[in-house]
Amino acid sequence: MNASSVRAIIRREYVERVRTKSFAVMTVLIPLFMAGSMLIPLLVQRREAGVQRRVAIADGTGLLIAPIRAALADTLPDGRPRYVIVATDYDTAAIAAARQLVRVHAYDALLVIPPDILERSRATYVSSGPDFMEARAVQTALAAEVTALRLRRAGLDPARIAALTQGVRTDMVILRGEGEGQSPEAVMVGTTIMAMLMYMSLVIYGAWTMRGVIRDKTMRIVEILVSTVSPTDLMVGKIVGIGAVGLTQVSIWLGAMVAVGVAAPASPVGRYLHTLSILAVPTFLLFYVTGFLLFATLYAGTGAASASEEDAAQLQWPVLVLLMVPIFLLGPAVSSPDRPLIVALSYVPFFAPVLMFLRWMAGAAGLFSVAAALVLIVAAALFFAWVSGRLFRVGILMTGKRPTVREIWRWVRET
Amino acid sequence: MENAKVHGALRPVNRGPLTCQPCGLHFTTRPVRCEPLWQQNGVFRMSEPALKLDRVTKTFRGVTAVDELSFAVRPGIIFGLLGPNGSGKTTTLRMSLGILLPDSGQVRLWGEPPGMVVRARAGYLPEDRGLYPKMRVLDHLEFLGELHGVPRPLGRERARAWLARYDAGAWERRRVEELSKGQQQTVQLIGALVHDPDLVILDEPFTGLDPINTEHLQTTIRGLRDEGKAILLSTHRMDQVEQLCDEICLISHGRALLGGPLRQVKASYGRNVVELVMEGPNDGRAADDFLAALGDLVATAERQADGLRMRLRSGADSQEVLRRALAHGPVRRFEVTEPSLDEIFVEAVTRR
Repeated sequence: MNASSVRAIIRREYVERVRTKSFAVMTVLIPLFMAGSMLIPLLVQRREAGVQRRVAIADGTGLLIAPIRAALADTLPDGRPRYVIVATDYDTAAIAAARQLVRVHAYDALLVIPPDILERSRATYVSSGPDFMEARAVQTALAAEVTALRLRRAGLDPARIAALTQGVRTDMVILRGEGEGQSPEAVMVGTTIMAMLMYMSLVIYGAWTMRGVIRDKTMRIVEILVSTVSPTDLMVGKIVGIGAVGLTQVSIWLGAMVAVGVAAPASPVGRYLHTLSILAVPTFLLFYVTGFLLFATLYAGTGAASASEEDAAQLQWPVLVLLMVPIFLLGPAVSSPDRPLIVALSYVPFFAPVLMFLRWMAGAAGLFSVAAALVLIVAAALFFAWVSGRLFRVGILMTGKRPTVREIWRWVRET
Repeated sequence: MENAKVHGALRPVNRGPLTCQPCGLHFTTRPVRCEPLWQQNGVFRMSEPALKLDRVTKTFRGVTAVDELSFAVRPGIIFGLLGPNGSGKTTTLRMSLGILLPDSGQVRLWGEPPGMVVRARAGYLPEDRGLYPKMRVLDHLEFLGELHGVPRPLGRERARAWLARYDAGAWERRRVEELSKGQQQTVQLIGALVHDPDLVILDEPFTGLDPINTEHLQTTIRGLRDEGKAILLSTHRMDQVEQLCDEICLISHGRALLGGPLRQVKASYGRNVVELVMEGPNDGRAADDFLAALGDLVATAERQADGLRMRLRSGADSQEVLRRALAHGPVRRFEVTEPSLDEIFVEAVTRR
């Protein structure tokens, strides 16, 4: 190992990347994008919730419209009633006219209640768009009033029946690990965000490593580099330099999160932060760094074996699949971290960075499991560093045609 | 060597090798002073080659690119590796720097295998020129220096000095991609020299240079030689070789066809070229008839603007050519000269 040369490569990779505008832009945009993707549906819902709805009801029984109107009597934040119920005659012409008004958005919906609803239990809800939340409120009211009517006709008191069949609500409190005493949803959302950040950073900087290796080849600079540095040193320099860029970015994100949490303890970020143990951030960084080393060596080897970025796009898919598996398992891993499949996969080096981190955050994995997973990740990283080092030795000067899988295998065995 | 503290100007002895008077060291070529060489090279003896290849062979998938090639490049020498395209020049240079490992044979840099420590004392200008396009010139040169173990402030200082020598001081804050091709090539050359290497390896350094930059580069290379550096350059342009090189090795299909000091190589081919200008037309049928009459003496003939340039068969007497020319008509000019390197090159390659 030639210290000055490796340091030069690390410094160049780091400085030239951190200085770029795109680094600053991505550092700001990625968390904004992620926050946006979670907040926008909430905001849309909230905005929609402030809109008055006009619902026409053609009541064939003549008995249900009044109780439904009473059931949908809640008001908007500004005091206006949420639902304006318009009565329509129950005949073919009037219903057709009302449908037309739904079509032109004069009404938001039309509820058609046939006279035989108590026997047939069927009604029709016509709306101009699939707004299931609105539809469900109207349908719930209709179903409740039909049931009440039936009960009354059978000589029973609906209020009494309702009291007798009252459901039971169970409050859930988890008494272990990070989320103690907190609502599990808050922990789940926050942890999912952290896992997604880790995943995105691994994908972005892993791919950068690969592209960096290929660029060196296509820009013909690699010949000068390997005239002074051994291919292994070159690989180490690139991985460490680019990894340091990723680590810088992730540290900025975590630092910003902690800063917001400290400055504004009442904000959602602040409340989430207080559910975390002091070990959460160091654990995240440990999994991030080891996970990056593993995937960066895989990506670097892929780059060394590719003659161009087009080749690499094809060669890299196995690596991408390995990266994506834990993201597909994110839901089950967060909601039931003790499931045997999740437990087993959380020890597999490729999936451990995200899955073991999630299980640790959910309180389903102890320090020993975390340590074991870290050791396994590092062992795998060392193994693939060895493989990629061999690919580097042979592949790094190759800019012509793409090697076949058999050739790559031969390089690994014979170099 | 150990007591060689005082060194002075070198004086030629009997037109032979140069000798450093205080330490009695002999130099085969012409460094001006011994002292800086001593400081740079430490315990290395001056006569020891910077680079030595010993029966080096390299095969790619059954095709032999370099075949049992041997040569040595000494300090203070410009060594030309010549050969047609695809003759194995670049492979040879890559093996010299340890980028490729030979299948058999030995490469030695200052007597050692080409490990990382000795490699840092070599500067390399690859045939495929390449720089990071987004980097600024000075940062890039500093990076290349640090890559070879030069501390960054020193690398900056040297890079500035080199840029100034090339009237390129104004570029130092520009990005590489903003420079013209020729300017980039200059930056690349400085990048190969910024760590003050003792061995400079240049792969086809003149391709793509305009006459002014060619002149500049020749001056630089001669300057490096006079500082006592060993220089190995590959080229297929013979005019450059004749002007620059002290020693040559001509290879074809990876094999050395001939080699040695340039003067010696040329001398070994003898003065067997005749330039002849006759009265009257020197072209057309008359010339053809005349050449046919010389058939048994001339190996190859070339028509020039106003005469003929002929290479004689070995053993042929040039005076016999003159006699027959006089018999054929009045001779205006007759000269016996040595072959140009171009002719040696063509003959050596085609003879095989």
